[in-house]
Amino acid sequence: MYVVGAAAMIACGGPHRAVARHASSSPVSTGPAPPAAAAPPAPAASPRAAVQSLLDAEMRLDHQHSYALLSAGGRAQYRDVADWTRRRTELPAVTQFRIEGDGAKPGSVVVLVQHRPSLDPFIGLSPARERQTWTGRREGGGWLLEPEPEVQAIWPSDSLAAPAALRWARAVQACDQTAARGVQAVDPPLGLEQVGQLALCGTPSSLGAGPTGSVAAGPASAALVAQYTTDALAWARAIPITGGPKPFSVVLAPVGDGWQVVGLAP
Amino acid sequence: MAVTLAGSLALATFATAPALASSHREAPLISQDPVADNTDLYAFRDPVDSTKVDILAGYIGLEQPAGGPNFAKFGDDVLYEIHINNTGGATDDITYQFRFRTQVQNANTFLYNTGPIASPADANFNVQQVYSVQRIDRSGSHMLLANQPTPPVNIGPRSTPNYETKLAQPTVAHLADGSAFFAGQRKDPFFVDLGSIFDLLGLRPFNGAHAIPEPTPPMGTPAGVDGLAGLNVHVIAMQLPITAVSRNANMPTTIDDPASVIGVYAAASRQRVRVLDLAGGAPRNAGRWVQVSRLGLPLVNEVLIPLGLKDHWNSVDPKDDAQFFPNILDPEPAKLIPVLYPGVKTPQGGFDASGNPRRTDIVAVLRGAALGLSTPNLLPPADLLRLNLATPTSSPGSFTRLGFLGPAMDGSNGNADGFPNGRRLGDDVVDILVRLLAGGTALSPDPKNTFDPPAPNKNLSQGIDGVPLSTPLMSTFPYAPTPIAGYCQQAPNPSKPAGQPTSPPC
Repeated sequence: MYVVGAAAMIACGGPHRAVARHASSSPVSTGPAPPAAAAPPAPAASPRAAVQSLLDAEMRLDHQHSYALLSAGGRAQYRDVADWTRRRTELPAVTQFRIEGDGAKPGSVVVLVQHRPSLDPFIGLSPARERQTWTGRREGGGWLLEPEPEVQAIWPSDSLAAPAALRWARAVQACDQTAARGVQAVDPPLGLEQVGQLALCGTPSSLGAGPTGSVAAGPASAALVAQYTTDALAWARAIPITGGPKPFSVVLAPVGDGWQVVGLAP
Repeated sequence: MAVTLAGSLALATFATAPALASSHREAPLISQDPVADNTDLYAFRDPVDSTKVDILAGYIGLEQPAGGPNFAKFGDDVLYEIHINNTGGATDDITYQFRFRTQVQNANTFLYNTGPIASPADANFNVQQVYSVQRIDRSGSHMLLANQPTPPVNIGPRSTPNYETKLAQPTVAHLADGSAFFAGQRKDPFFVDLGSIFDLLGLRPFNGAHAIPEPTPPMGTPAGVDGLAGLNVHVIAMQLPITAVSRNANMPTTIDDPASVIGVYAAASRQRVRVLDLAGGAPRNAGRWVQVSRLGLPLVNEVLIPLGLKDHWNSVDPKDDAQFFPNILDPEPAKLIPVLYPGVKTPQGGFDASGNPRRTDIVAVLRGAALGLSTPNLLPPADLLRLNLATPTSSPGSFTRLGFLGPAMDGSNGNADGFPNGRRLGDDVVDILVRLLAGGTALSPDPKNTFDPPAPNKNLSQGIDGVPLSTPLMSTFPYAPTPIAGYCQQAPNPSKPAGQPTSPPC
């Protein structure tokens, strides 16, 4: 009863409301930590110029400058430079780009963007190249951009996946761990426990590669998805290896201009 | 029962104690998600190598040592982060990110281990977990570690013999720049009388002053009982060169300089979408990472943020904390104390007619007043665990659990490198914060508030002096104690504090 009484006292008392009103006008000396200085919108002369300026800034990791190119909608989604910076650090860093032309929608611009190709648990797959379509908005007497472009990753040809899988399997068969690791993006490959011991090392059989397939959601891909999110189901390819002591598939990721082994599946 | 005035006043102050339970299960949503739940955060200059700073972040609170066969582990689907500000504000200047991956060696057994585990890579260690570390700073993202093993949990003498030397220490990763990383199970180094504090804000040494008297005869003892004495936690620990985190990449030497200060908070995020597999496979996660837990100072969300805001508080960053200042600067525990401890007075919170906060003592902590900064150099208030990297470390012989404030609570004989100047593993943040909330520190409330704190407010205590010494802190990184083995877990015994037996093999 005491606590209830206290709670009632607090609830009906003015203090909470009063301090809330004061809080919005707290003196500078006790005010909140200032956010990173907000860059005012800096509309560009054209959608292309806006994209050029934004991606130039991103190449320099100057997120404050790129934030100034965001539309009002973008600023509503990312309320300050810190929010925008956090979002951009979730994405592959831009190393180069080339504006290819206008997009199909009015005010949109298509850009070929390059990244340092990699695969890690934080950003996931950083494709060597991707085609981004940025959407411009006419605001503030110029052009600003929506924050999230449409992205189409450019992966190496699927036809290169089977040879890479076979190269890895033959290296394992030759008990050449160094050569096998040279084809791997992850060491050890994910899902090894699903396949168990491959027993490939030292076997005399002639190995072959089956047709390239996609990777479906399910127990066999659980480790892959856990590490690289469901995005992995879009880029991963599975190649059945035939001729060995037991059947298994090699799972590959499109890292750079080729395919690298990330996992195994039954 | 005879209750002295002093006793009653003292009792009243500890009514604030509930706020002091750090951050175990502190908010409705995260209490259902222990794998992503921050428990405690520590930051201190390395006691062995003063050119380094140690930061430890705990997750998975109240962890039962004997929790097999599926023992506690980090979440493969959680993004763990430690954020550092070194520019005097509350935004992230440096972020360390951690992702974990479980590697089951043999899915055809229920066993966590299929025999004694002699090393972190032992084939008998069936449910292994590795992790990767990434640092994000002004120069971009940098992978620091990949596939670094974690130790097994401490199961018992048959499964995990020579735990510390053969299983835990070998997993400490040493980088070329002098950094070291560790992730794994530890004995929870925090100590708090959870049982009494959450029983209507009781402090056992002051039981006689509580508005609800104890049954006759009294239950228990007047000494506090460490509710975490028998429990483990999972810890991410970093030992970093100070030059890797300081503002100017140098070794700060001037105490009264904001550039010498870092502000730290730890967090955990999950992806927005989780899809369960109809076929019973592993759930799939997709979408952007969303912060579900954070922790800077050890009391804020626990007891200062009301239930209706706790989950929201967990989702935002310290830079957006101004929305919570009305709660933080008008702390609810300070209003409960006079109710639960009749006759006890506490300082008035809120803001005066000019909009200035009355609880200048709390503001002082939020602005870094205990960091050795003069008034012109104080920092904007934020819920960050701030540490002055120029403060020398105290000698082991001068350690006081009352940290910066010291036994006299005026800083005159405290440890300048103790909480709230960072937080060391042995700092009694419960006692310090109880006294702070009760207005019993030398960081006194605004004199205009006309609050004259009674003497007992300066001496409040949960009564757990030295109990954590039952599981000694380690003398080397990662410093947090060796986890209690499941084999050694004891059944709760109300007649004595729970904990680890002292006889071999425990």
